[in-house]
Amino acid sequence: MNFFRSQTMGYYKLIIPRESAWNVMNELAELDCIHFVDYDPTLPMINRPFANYIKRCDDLLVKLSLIEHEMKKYQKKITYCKDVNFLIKNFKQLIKERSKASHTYLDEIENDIDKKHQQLIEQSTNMENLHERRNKLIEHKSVLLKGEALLGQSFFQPANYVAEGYVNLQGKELDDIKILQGSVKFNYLVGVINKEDQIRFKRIIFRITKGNAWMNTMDIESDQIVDTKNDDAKIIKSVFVVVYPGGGGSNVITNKLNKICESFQVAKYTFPENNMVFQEKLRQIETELVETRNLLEMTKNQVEAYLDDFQRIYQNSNCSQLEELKLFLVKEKYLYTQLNYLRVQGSVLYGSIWLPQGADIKVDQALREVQTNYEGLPTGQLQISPPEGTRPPPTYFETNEITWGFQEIVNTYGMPRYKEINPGLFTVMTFPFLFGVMFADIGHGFCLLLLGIYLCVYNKEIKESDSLMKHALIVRHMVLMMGFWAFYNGWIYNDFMSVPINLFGSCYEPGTVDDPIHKDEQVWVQKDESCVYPFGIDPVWMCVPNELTFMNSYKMKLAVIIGVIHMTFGIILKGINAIYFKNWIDFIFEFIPQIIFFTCTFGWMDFLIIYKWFVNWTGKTDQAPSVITLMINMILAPAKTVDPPLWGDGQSEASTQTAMLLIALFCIPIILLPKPLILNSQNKKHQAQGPNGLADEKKELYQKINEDSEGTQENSEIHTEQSGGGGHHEEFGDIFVHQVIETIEFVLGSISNTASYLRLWALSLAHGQLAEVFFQMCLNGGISGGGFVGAIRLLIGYTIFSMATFGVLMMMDVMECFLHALRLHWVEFQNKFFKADGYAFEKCSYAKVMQDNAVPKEE
Amino acid sequence: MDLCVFGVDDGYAEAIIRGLRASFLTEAQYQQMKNCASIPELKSFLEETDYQNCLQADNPQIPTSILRQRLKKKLADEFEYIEAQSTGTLTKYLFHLRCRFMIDNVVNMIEGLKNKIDIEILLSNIDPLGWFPEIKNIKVLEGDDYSSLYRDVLIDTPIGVYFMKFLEESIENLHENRTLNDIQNLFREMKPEYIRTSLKKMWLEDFYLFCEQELMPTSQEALLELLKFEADFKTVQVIYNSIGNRDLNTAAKIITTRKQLCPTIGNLYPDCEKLYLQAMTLDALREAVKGCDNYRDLLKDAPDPLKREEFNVQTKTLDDIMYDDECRRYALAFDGQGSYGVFYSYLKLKEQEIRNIIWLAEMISRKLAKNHPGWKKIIIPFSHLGK
Repeated sequence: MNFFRSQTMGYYKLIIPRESAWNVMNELAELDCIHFVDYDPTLPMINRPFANYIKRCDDLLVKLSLIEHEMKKYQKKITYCKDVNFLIKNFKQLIKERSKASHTYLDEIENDIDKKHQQLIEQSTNMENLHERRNKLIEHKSVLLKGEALLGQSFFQPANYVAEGYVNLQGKELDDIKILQGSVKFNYLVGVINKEDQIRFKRIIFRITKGNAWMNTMDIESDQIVDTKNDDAKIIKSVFVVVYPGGGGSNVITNKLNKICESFQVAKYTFPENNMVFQEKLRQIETELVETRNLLEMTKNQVEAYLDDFQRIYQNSNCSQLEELKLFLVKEKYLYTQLNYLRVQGSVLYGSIWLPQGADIKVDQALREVQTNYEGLPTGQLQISPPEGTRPPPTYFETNEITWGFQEIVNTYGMPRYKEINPGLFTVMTFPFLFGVMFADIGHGFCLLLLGIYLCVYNKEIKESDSLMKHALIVRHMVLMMGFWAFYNGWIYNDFMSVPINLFGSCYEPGTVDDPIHKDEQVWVQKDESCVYPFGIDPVWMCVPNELTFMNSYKMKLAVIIGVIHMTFGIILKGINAIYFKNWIDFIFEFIPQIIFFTCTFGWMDFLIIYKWFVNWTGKTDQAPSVITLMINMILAPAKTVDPPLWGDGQSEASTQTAMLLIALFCIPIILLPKPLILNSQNKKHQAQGPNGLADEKKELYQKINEDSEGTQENSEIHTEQSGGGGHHEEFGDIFVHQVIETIEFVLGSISNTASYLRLWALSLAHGQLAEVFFQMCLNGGISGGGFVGAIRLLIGYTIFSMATFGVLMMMDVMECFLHALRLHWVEFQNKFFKADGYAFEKCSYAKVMQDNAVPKEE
Repeated sequence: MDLCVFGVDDGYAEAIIRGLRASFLTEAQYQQMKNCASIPELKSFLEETDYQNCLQADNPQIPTSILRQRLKKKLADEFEYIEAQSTGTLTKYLFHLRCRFMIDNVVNMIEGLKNKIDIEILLSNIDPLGWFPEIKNIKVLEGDDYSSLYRDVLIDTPIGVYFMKFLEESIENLHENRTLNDIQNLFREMKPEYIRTSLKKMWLEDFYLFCEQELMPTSQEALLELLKFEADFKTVQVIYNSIGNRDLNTAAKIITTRKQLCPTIGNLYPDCEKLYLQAMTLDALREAVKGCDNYRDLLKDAPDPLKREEFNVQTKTLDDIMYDDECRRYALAFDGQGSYGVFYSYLKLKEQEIRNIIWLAEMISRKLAKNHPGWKKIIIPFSHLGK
């Protein structure tokens, strides 16, 4: 019954001596069954005793992520851990075999990582320096080559100028300058600049020289210069050449230009003056380039060797060393985080924990194991204790692969209160069913069913592959069940992608009527009086003009019947909860009048619908009463004789419905009034007793709990009263207003919720109509047209049809039906009984936290 | 009307700001910060807050200057992100916001250059919010000819417009038959504080005009109010600081300088201009601003500038008072929907937060006693909400 109601929890005190805190905690965290209660949630983590260790782990994790980053840069493949339990066992073994104190393993790892990280950084800086040198050389080489290309070799040869005069260079071309070179001395400036700075540089040169300079640039081939500081991004640089008249007065302009170059962090180069020097220089650079390249290669190999170390999968491990270290640190950090929940007093740690029933034996055993495993270490102690604080026990359900998804659906709305009936149990069945009612279609349902079967059968294979389906695995059972019910309900509605299937042979055949007016019309004649289509709707309905009217009425009625049953069930669950919590006020003054109210109104309506189905109206269809009119008249004209009656002469029907209405109306004040009045008088009694009385009462109860293990029930009751009713300090006005709202919500809700279940019909209608539209538009023309043209039309039509079916019906409509099924559960069903104010049992578990960290981070 | 279309272009940027709003430190967190005993402790505390990522790489004994740089870098990164997400008017608007920091940076650079501080140090100290690529080119090109710096380099910067205007105005103010030397002298002698105040005044007026002309009414409503206050704040500051200033020895000189530095916008201008320009004591200043808003109340507690020598850490200076009032106003801007006011306020409030952290860091590193009045001298953004 652990899924029907949450597991029984026990509150315990854990006492651990500080020197063995690590070992004890390590042992306990492997049990996966302890919920640690934070002794002071307001205390920031950094002020706690083990914050230091957490910080260390964090720092190391940062270092590891840097190493991981490097590894990705060098395209080292990291093997990720698939089975963390194996690793946990491994760590345990490893620590057992060590002779030193077990928690010092962290120190060792810290040293190791620090050292390797340091080495790696050194090598990286080495690399950077080499790269820089290489960049410089490439720049120099480019300056030589491009400079020549830009100006021509002859330009740099010392010219025999005539005078150091002023020449206006504005708007002059290079050729003009070359001619002028004979007469005036020119200075030049050659260098390399970042391409992005180029325009600003040009502008400032222009401004400083007052436009009296000639400048040109040329890009260096983009892939050569590497920016090591920025993840090896390529930077584009360009060679520039500035020519300006150098004569005249001091070297003001040269000075200014030099300063500008400095501020732009431009590399300046001198250009060799004659060809021989030029060639010599070029050769020299080439040799140096080869040298640096070799050095770079060597350093790279060294770095790779370091990284290989982290990539390797060691013996007794199932993942790369890097991952193993990372997971170990994650585990260690988690352990210290949990330890931080304990209060330190002297040399002892005190902690409060919640344990599921029966787990205390496991914990005891684990504590004893610490003593046998680590001789000489004191072990912890487990003591039963009365709960402290006002928080009720946490809610814990053991889920399996099938129930997990449905429980998640419930938890997303709200965690069930401790020991409250878990709607998740029923959701497992009703959710796929309600989905199926909306998605009812043999064809589409079968597709979904196939997907579900595929996911279930090939579960293992998909899990190990890189397929996208991997993410759907977790809901495979849900898909399977949803597919099955959609398929089943498709048969009930006899709808195969908008075409009914004549599987058992229809009971009708084409015929004629004697009536002369309608002579040419086609009519369907029943073959045999007693013939009934064995399963689902007779396919003949597809061919008659009133198909839609009939199907709508049929689906609507089904929807309402399902809805009323579903909600009645919800109300009954409320009653069961009230009995369980021994909350008699709720049981007598809420559950009983509510269930009566609901049966007398909507239960009565269901009865009318079903009764009407049982009557054979053949030949007297005009006498059949409309259920809607019946319901409306029941309220507007209750005592009047029903006409046309559903049965008899209408008299008995009228009196029954009047009685039903009166009972239902009588129930409303019973829901509204007694509960707040009783609660109020109880409050007054408590106040008279004073706070001591209450405390005494509580104490008594706690004692009772400790005496018998069943006591947790009462225990939860106190908490329910405190958190939910909270009546002790509430004003009467508040209680009353609360009850008024509850009553209104129930009474009006029963109407609107019933109407809400009509979505079961509406979505099914929408689905059917969409399918029909696609079929008619895409396929029908081709099929009925026939011949070659028909084939072509069918070919094109089918493409569109299949895509529309997949996109609209199999994706969008599945999603839509899913959401509506979700809503029916969350709102219409759960608001009848579900309190949803619990909080989850968070078991301390290595496996979980490691699993979360074992998957590669998505880039 | 503009509320309907605000979201089209600026909705995302505003949403980011509103998200970032959650990152402000709370009063309780400030309390915890005050309890930190050392800088490493403060650092590890900040690592638990939104400032986590920007501090992780540093060593625990982080100097306050680096700390400030890191915090500012984070703010600048956020701002840059928002800028990248903005289009059209918002981009222009955000650029205007940045200008204030650029002015500060440039003036700091000039000041540093005059004091012959190494350019690398200067560059490492610039506020990342006001960074622009040309800033590293600020350098004296020739001897100590600062005017050429203005002419050749500064006008090429994003805030070049203001420098150009400043240059023209300053030269105009010189006597008729000026020589090149006069101009050079003028700029050599000019105080950086003076440059800063003048530029900021121009920026403020320009920004005000921009808001008035290009923004939608909702943004205008919020921003003009804030800017008016800021202008008034500047005016009061100028007047206040010039009272008893020894460099300005004649009454005429005081008035002309004031006139140059006081913004020509705000609640005080032009109605009270005559009065405040001539206010030579704190009382006269109080009298001059009494007609506007709550300024008189604000000035009530300000210490007398004539007794500057007696100021100490305990004194709640005019700046403190004004910042306090400012903070409240900026926080209010977050109440309005669909306005650009939040961007402005966010910057201002974050600046205040950084000031607070740095102040506390200073207090902690000096190991001052916990009853020292300085501990109370922080202004917590959004603290009025708790009351």
